[in-house]
Amino acid sequence: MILSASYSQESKFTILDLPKSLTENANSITKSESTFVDVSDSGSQDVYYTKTITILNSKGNSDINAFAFYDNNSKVKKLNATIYDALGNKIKSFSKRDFRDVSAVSNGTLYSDNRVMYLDYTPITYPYTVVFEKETTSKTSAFIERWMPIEDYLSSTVRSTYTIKFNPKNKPIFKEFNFDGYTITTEQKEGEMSWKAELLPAVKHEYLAPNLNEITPMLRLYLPQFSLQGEKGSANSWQDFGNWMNTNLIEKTNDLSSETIEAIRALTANATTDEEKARIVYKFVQDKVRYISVQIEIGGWKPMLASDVDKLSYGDCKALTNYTKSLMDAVGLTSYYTIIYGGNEQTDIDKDLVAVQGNHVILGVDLNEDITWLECTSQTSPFGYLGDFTDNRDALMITPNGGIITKTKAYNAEESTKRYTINCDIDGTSVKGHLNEQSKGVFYKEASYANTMSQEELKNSYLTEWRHINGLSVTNISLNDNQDNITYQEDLDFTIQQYLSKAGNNFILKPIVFSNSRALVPPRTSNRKTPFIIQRPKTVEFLISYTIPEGMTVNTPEDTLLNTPFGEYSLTFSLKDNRLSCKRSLKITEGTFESNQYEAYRSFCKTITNKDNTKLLISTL
Amino acid sequence: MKQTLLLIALTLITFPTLAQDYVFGDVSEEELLEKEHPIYKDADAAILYRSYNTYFTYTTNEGFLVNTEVHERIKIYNPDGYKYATKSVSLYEQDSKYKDDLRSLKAYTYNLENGNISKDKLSKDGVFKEVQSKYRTLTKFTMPNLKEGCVIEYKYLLKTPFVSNLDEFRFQEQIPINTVSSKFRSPEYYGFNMHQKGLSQISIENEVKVGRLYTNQKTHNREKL
Repeated sequence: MILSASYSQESKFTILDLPKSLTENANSITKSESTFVDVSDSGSQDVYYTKTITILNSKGNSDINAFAFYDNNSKVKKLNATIYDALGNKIKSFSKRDFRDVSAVSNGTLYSDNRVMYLDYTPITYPYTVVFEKETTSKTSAFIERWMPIEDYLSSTVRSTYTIKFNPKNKPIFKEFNFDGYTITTEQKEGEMSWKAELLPAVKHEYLAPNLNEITPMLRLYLPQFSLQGEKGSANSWQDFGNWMNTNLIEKTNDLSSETIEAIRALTANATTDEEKARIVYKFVQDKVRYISVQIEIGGWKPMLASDVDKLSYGDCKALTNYTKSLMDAVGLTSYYTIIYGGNEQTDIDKDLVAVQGNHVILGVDLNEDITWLECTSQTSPFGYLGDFTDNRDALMITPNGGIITKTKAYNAEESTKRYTINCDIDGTSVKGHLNEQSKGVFYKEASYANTMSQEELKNSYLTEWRHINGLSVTNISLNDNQDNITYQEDLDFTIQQYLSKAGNNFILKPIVFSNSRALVPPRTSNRKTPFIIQRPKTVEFLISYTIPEGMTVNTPEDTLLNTPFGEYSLTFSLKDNRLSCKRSLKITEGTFESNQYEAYRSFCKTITNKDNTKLLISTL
Repeated sequence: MKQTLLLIALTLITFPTLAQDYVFGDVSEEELLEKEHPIYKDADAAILYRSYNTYFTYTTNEGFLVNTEVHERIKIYNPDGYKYATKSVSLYEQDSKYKDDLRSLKAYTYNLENGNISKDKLSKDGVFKEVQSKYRTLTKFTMPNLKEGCVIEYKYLLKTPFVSNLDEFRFQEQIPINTVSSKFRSPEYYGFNMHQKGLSQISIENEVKVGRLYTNQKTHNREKL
């Protein structure tokens, strides 16, 4: 009853009434959304949520987000949805048992107790409106429902409110992100805080833009005294928090048997340095275990016993990191269980919010006061290699003296390099030669996938990578994975039929063979609004030489040197005897750039493409 | 115990194999010592033996049930083959009475350690039931203590009341299968059609025999042929 009453009130908002700022770029409009969170008992979290959303076209269907997650320690108490047509007539209603109830075991996980109930509705007409209501209760208050009044791209919001009720002795810490430029009001009283946002226009995704939650308003809250899957905790500082984690989640799982301890000591007995010892332990773990993820209740946060990993030879990131740590302890090395956000995007553990964060765990081994990072879930990763999954971001290191926020290794442009060394001969209109591709830093990981490929697959992967080169064939592929200095080398012989074009008695050659910089040029966006990000500094180089056939010569063009805020590009040519050498180098600078610089970045990329396509005339003497 | 004996005609379909019998648990040292597949050197793993044995049982409570005994022995040559040690069996459930049932799962990992064969049992807490939806449950498990060159072996019994919708018998995978043995017996009362798919046609023996079907009100007795 209450719901239908509130709906009829909302229905005053027909599409025509809405300001143009909200219908522009919108596939859906959230007319009202309210979240009410009750954490007055720190051992539990009750959330009451309602939303009225109008879906304007089929692209907006995914914005309904009518679902409720639950697990062994949480419950969906109430769940329903009603669908209305454009005129406000009821089309259909769904009660809790009409929602699909399915397991929410993520890819790469063998088992977890996560489940989700979701609305499975096939629209019959547009626009339509969904009124959705849910109530959940959970024994976890360590993560409080966050507030994002703009949940999706191309979706606008008329009004969204968030209220949290708490015990004044346990007042949540909170952080407001990207509130500037939006109409957001807030109210605080004893035991309750609330926020209200109104008239938020839809955001369009733009190429290289930051994540939606980095450009639109978001509120995150945490309790100083919390409960994690029923396990009580409290923290006022990272130091406190680290101590709590250590005592409650980690310490007790370090229970290797004396046989295992002796075995690992025997293995490292002849090692002369700490680094050598650590390398032996890491190799031992890599040879023994494999990654299998099982997440049940507190097991989503607490590692499996080290003795179980020893017995079963498998575990998830927590289990394998903790197991490696236990072995490091056994041989007298200091190492720290370290919590991090894993992923290609460099997400920091937010320093300002002392709380359970992160989605991955790695191990930091203290070697002469310097931390060497180990990815314990990989059977093939070189010692100390992080790659683009965990590089250059704030992580939480759990030490015996509590938690410490520390940054993981960043690869600079000199460390992350890809260098192609190509020597070729010209034979009529064909080019034949040898190519060496050397990959270091963040380039290493992707290149090393070649290890897992058969010769046939490898050949196909090269032909796919260089599909812009017509008439290419490759032979004699050889690979060299140097794990000690983390360099991957690929060698091959190649022939490109009819690479040169004939112009009378002369030939035209595009010397920067194998570069595919056309793919680099970002798409045109008009009236760009969001900043853009260039991730990770890196260097890509081509060193190419040609033997010019006898009786012919070539005029080398002028050198190019571009220096921009986005990077440096240089292209130089030299001719010595009958050897033409070309050096092309692109050094990319990382950074977040204002939207008005986007055109300059595009033109930099276009210039690179033009220069990479330089044509030379090889003429008969 | 009251038992009724029925004499009925049974259809028997078998895919004959020349190889020796594979007894569960009888993993040999040669199997453990093998470093690569004798024919497909690139294989990360190989199914040494796979067997299906399907027969019908009848109880007055449940009617006809189709029972399939699955037995599989897998050799793992290298860590890229570890993925074959994780198994997921999909079970259908129409309601609490009328559903697939996986029983008697037994599984071991065999390793050669200092010349001795060691075995690790798959423990109960290593088996997970993922209720995917109201109608579908996955029984999932992964084998303990895998090492390069290990052999894993498991068997289970699949009981299903869905007589008209039987699972296929798979004779080919992305890794080599050395030996498959399969046997399908059904009362002649049911007419099943057989479809083969794939590049290699397999010769299948088909015969009709008179067999016995024991029924029992309490227990599910299998028929003897």
